[in-house]
Order: sequence, then structure tokens, then C-alpha cells
Amino acid sequence: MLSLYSLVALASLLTFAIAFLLIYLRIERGGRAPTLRPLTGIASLRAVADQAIEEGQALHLALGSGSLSDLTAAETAMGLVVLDSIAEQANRTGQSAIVTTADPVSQLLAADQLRQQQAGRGENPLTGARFVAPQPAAYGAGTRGMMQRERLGVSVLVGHFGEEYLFLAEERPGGSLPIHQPELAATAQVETLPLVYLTAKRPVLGEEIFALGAYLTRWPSHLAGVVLQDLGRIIVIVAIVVGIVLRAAGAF
Amino acid sequence: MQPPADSTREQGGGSGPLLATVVAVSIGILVLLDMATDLPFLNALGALLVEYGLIIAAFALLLGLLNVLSVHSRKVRLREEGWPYSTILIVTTVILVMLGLLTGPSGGAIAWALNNVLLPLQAAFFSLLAFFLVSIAYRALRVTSFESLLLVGSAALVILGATPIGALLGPFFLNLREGLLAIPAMAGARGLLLGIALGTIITGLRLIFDGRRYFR
Repeated sequence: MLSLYSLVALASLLTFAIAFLLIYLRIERGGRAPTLRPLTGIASLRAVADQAIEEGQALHLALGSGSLSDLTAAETAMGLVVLDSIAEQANRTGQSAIVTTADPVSQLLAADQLRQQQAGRGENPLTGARFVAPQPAAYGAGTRGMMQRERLGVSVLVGHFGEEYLFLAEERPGGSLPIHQPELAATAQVETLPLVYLTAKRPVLGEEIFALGAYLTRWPSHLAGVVLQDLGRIIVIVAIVVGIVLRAAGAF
Repeated sequence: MQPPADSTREQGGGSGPLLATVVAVSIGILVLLDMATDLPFLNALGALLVEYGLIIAAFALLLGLLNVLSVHSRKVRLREEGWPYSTILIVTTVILVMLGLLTGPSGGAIAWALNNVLLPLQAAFFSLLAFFLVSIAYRALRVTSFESLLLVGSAALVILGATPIGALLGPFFLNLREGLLAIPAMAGARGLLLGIALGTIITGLRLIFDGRRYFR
């Protein structure tokens, strides 16, 4: 027997799933795709890859300390979507991309994406996609050391980041081993958002991280996700307003 | 705006990717239903599938370790910058793995290394964050726009309310600090969290229904 909580959860999930499939199929079958409002950080991600190419340096993508097997999976998955896009762009110009992660499963997926992008170039995708360490502190320390020693000029940070974000984002402009501020940083971790806002050249804050795929790839499933995200937001706003009115009227 | 005509990168080829997609989608839906319901059969099946996932993830950790060794042994071999650190990492890893194999994952030597080396190092490393935060706070507290003026003003009031000076000046700053944190800050955080929750749900659905690009 299902409890009331289960029924509500199941009904909400089914509604979301059906709505997603309907929008997705409509866009995939050639329906009108949504017009995306301009988001500065996202729109300039391609410029970030171009900058790395111009500077002749490898592009560094940090997927953060999240994992694909826990509650941070959605953010980590968005990091992999960004990797797909920028690795393709870097590969077209013969540039290398280095991916760092604290999750071995993400590392395998990243290596697979690099392998597909770099097919025939003779580069080893396993050294491009690097599992640094599973603990956030060790991940931050290892990645910062790598950024210094390998002189990575352009860094993009997309995924789940806690306090270790600062190790990756705090710039060290002078000296023989400089670390530059991140060109773009995106996370959904609320506590880290102020740090992202203050340190990244192009901050992508909160839920915007989940729209990255739609802007970068324009694949139907990503576009459908953005449309549904907007619809869901409208429903939540209406529900909050109705709740306030009913509460004020003494209905509950 | 039309979707790209060359969306072939999304398409899998042959029956292998199709089978993998069908299996992945089915398992994703089953685990999702398990999370949303309290039916004993689904709960047991969901727990079993999650357990299988954890076992596979453990193998991934082993591959991750090989990746670390591969990257750093290459650095040592090519004498790249910082290769002595890589040597230390490789030697330490090999010693700890051997100790772990000999004494077990919670054996005395491993526990000693964890409590006396790893945890103090982590604590020391995180203590550096204070200096990084001061540097960022300095940058944040420069008034360059109306937004930064609001930020600086709010920060000054909250700091005043949280320090003994604020308490000496009377309850006003304490109440103001509580009000700032409880109403505008909380409202903003809740708005963000609602958006993030929606985005997470939709990303999960997208991975379940359109995960085929991972099985090319």
C-alpha cells in the first residue's frame, strides 16, 4: 500500500517525466526550439576555449569534489557535458584539455569523452583525465599543485565544490608559477556561490549550471530540460503565492 | 532556434549501445520508483541495484588509483617539473597499499597513517583557507557599484551584530543582524535551493531518458 507521501512523490515524478518526454519529443521532431535568454557566463564559454587556444596552453576543466553516485551527481554530470563541448572545440584546433576530478567514475567517463574527441591524435586520454584524490582537501591541494607546475593558463570549474574551491580559484598572479583566476566557474553548492561570484571572471550561479548543456550543445534533451525548468519555476511561484493567500485568509 | 541538424553525436550505433541504453534506462526507472514508493518488492530491488552500483564504483576506484600512478610515473619518467613530489606520492601509495593488504583496511599501520599524517595534513591545509578568505574579503569589500555597496553595508551590519562591539551598542544591531540573516538572506537562499532542486530533478530525468550518448 502506498502512503500519501509516496503517492504525491510518485505523481510529481510522473508529471515531470511525462512533461519532459513530451517537450523533448516535440523539439526532436523538428518543433520550434525555445529561444534562450542570453547568459553572459555561458555565452562566453566558447571564448574561454578560444583564449586557451590563442595562449597555446592546455585548457583545464575541474569537475570538483562531487561524484556521480551521490547527491552531487547532477552538478558533476553538467561538468561532463561542458567537457564534451570544450574538448570538441579544443580538439578541432589541436589543443589539449586536462580534466581533474575527485570521483573515479567521472574520471572514466571523462577519459572516454577525451578518447572519442582525440581519436587518431595519439594522445593518451588517461593522462588528460586525471583522478586526483577522493577527499576534497587532497583534491584541492593536488589540483592547485598541478595548476602551478603545469602552468595551466585557463581554468574552467564546473561541478560540485565545497571549501576546496578556494584552492583552485584563488589567483597567484606573480612569480614563476602563477595561478590565474578561473575564466568560468559554476556550481550549485549554495555555500560556495559567494566565493564563485567574487573569484571567477564569469560566474555561473545556482540553477544556471543546469542550463549549461542547452546553451553549449543545443541538444533537444537539454533544451527540453531548460523549458521544463522554467515551467517548474512558474508552478512553484504560483504555489507559493496561492499558499500565502490561503494562509493569510486563514484556510490552514 | 532550431536544434542542430548534425545531432548524430547523440545517436548510438549498432545493437550494443541500444542494449546498454535499454538496461540503463530500465535500471534508472526502477531505482527512481524505489525512491518514490514504499513497496517492499521495489525497495529490495532498488537496494540490490544500488549495491551493484557501489561494487562497480569500487572497481572504478581501483582504476582511479592506477590513473594516479600512471600520471605520476610519467612525470617521473620524463623528469617533468615537480617530479620529486610525484616520486614521494608513488612510494607512499605503494607502501600504504602493501600495508593495507598485509594488515587490512583498518589495520594498525593504516589507522596510524590516517590519524597522524592524513588528518593533520588535511586540517593544516584547510587552515590556509582563512588567509584565502581574507584576501577574497578584501576584494569583496571594495565599493565599485551599487551592488557592492549593498554587499559591504550588509556585511558591516552583520559583522557589527556578531561582535562584542555591537552588543555594547545595544540590542539594535543584534536584532538587525538576525533580521538580515533570517529574511533577505534566507529568502535568497531558498529561492536558489528551489531552482537547484528543480534543475537536479530535470537533470536526473534527462540522464535516464537520454543517456544514450554515454553508450556510443
